[in-house]
Amino acid sequence: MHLASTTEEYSRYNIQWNGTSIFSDLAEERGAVEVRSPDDLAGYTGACLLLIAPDTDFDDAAAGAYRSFLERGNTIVLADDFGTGNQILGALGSEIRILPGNLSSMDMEYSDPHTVIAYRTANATLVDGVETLMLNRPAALEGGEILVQTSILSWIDADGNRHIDAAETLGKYGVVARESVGAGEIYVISDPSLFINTMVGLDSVRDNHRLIGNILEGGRPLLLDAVASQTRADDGIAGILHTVKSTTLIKTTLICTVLLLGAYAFRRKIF
Amino acid sequence: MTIRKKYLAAGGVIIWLCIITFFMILSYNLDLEIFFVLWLIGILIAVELIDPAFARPSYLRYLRYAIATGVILFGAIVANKVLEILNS
Amino acid sequence: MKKRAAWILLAIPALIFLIFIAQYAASPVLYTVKDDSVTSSHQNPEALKQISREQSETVLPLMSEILGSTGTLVLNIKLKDFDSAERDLKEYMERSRQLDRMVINLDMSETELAEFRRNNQKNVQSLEELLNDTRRFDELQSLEIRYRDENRPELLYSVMYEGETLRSRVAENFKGYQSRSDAMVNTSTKFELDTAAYEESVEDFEEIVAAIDAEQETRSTTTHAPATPYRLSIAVTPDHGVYRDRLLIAGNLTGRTIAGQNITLFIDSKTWTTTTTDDGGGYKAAFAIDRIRAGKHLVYAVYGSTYSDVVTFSVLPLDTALTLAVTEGTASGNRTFSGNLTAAGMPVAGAPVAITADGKAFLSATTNSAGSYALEGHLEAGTYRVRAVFDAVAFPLNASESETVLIEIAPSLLESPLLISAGILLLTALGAVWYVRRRRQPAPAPEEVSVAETEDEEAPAPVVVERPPVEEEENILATFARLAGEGSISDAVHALYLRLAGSIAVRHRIDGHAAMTPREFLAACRSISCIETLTRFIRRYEAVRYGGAVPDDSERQELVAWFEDLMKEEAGSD
Repeated sequence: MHLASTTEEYSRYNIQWNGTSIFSDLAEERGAVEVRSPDDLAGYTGACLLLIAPDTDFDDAAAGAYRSFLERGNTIVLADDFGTGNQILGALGSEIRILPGNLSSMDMEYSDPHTVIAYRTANATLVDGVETLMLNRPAALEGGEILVQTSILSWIDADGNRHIDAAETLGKYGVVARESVGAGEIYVISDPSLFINTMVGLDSVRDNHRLIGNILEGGRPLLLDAVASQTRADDGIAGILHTVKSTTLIKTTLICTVLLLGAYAFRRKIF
Repeated sequence: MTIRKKYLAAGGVIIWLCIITFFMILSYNLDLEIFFVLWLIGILIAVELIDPAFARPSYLRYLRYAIATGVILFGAIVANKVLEILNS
Repeated sequence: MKKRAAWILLAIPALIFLIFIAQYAASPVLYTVKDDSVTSSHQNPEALKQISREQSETVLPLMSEILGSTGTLVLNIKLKDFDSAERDLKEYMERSRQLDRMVINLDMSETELAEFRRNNQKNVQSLEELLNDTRRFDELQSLEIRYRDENRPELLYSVMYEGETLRSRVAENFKGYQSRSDAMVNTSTKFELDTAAYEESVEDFEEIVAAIDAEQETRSTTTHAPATPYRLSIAVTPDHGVYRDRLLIAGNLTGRTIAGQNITLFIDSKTWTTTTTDDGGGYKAAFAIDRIRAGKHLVYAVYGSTYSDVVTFSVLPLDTALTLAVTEGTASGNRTFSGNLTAAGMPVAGAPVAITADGKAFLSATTNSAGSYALEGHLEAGTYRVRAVFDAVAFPLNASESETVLIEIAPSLLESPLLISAGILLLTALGAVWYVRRRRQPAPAPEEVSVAETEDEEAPAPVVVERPPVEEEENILATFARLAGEGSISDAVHALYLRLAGSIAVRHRIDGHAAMTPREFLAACRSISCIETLTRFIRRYEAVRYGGAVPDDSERQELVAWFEDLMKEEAGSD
């Protein structure tokens, strides 16, 4: 599976620190299904769809499919810190918006103010048992019901110098928000880095594991988006391998070729 | 016998270098300086082990010059490190 | 030929390898986790140090404690529990110092937090003054009772005057404290702190002011001026000024003897100066505004038990400008820090100036009469951001900071990096030379070849001490004759071969000839001139040594003749 790899950010085929291979494996162990087309969403109710770091906008057809999925009583968890998710949020009819920028805090887990520690302020199934979270260059959220937010000693580091300047103001910023749309609900996490290998692999850093556990063990069908999410990114050999693995015809042909070559070699007594 | 000793030593050094590289990659830390110093240590040990007591095989003589160059380079590395520490 | 090809084959990749690797000589770290640990959306925590620092958990409670401190402190002052107030003040000051340190350490000097800290610093000063003033006011009350009992109206009157000063000071103090309260409450609310205690402190402060006011009011109405035959007037012109201004305090003594009398002038209840009246009873004194805090001040004059009215003047603060220049000091590692402090262009004399390096004060100077300061200080090697800071409440001058000067202190010559690196290089070079030269002394055994053969099958180094050939030949021929005479012809022939092979190997740089069979040796020698003779010699040698043939006399002579020919040829081939 992971013999060959890509270095694409967030890619589920990337086994480097910035890939999401570990999380994808965990999800697949729990029977998560990959959604490769908006049409795959039809028929689900009470399911949870995970969108990690979307990098494309929804066209009208996709927007309709996702919105009806949501309104049927499903849950969508969107993790994004670039702001691409805003178009999707708009298309889904959500009021929550992502404010891109380097959210920084004096409450830091590592020696860098961008490794923000955030605190739970409200309860919801997604953040059940999550008291503090360690985020990796998150963005700030506005709108919706804020579930997790930073401490007051936080600011949006506009110039990226890791220091608070006169133009930057201290304040509490939301990093996990919830909103009900139709019969469904939408959660926005302002940091998709929560799902990258190095963050998932960290032992006992805050309650990050608990949050991921809540997403994975929700007791409902879990869907991994591969329409807009960067997790689908499969450039390089990983992509070729993946295509080969997922296409039965190519797979059969390959096996036959190998067998034939073996037979030929055996007949000519090459071995 | 002679040949075997020579090749054993070379093989030993190569295996040593492979081990170093393996662990460097394992720890995500590829540093030529450390590699060089560890190579020097390896080759010094190898030479001490194969160096016969009374004779001076010619290949060892040339190796000695290589080691001497290595020792001077090592000095340069140490000096460089000292500079770094002083400047920090 | 084959050997040379192998060498070249080895040398070329080695050279290519060296050329490639030389590019990295300057930065030998090819890869660490840090190298690709940052992307635009996250960074690799593995490359960072885990500190788990939750600053808000220390800063916010501290701020809250500070706000709480003001409440209890002012309440205790109001209740005249001065001992508790003293303790509260100490605690409050300690917490404020902690906050100061934190704001500096966190580098939050441009945030609301820093504003909170600045206002709080002023509050500390304000409350400290309040404690001292109310305590003194309280003492005045007991003094008043005592003087009343003792019936000493003139002292009673002085108590009244001091009370007046205190009243005005506390009122002034309150104005400042109140003016900051909005800002304090705003910031605190933003940080979600409970400001109730602080707001209460403002109210309590107001009550203290009102209580003092009321008490002083009754005191001034009940205290009557002691009956004296004199009257003393006073006036300050102008009634306000700035640093370095001169105010004229003048008045008139009227009564019986008015010329040449000593008038004592009080500023803020403290004796300032004594002046003498002129013939008409007039007195005057010029007050130069220097070390006096900004704000309102009280003046009155006293002649014996005659008191003038109380008049006021205000001192307005001026902005200051501070410069800093850093020059080389007298000793290595020392720097001279000098500069000027001026207020509206006038030099400020006797003012304290602190020199800070990276935010920490490490030197303090005092300006001279021209407003300039200069002092020398020692700094450890390193780079510093140096600044001069003037901030003295005793002067009616606003605080100021100089421009930041970046200085770099080079390590002294002994610890100079160049010297150290040169030393290390020299040492290692010496080590390298010693390593190469080690065991290069000629081995003591004369029969080096045979030792090499028996002790170790390595090819001995071809560097063998050469002996004069003629002598050698005689010796080897003598050995040959002796061994042949003893019947061990095989050994005799072998000795001849060894000498010959050794000699040829040296001449033609053939490595490892001792390890070769005679055939191999012959093959290695195929390019030398007398190859035919050598071939014949070796054939015969093999026949004797390995074939077990016993040569007759003529054959032995032939062998010796070939040997001599070869040796001669070899000697002549130079």
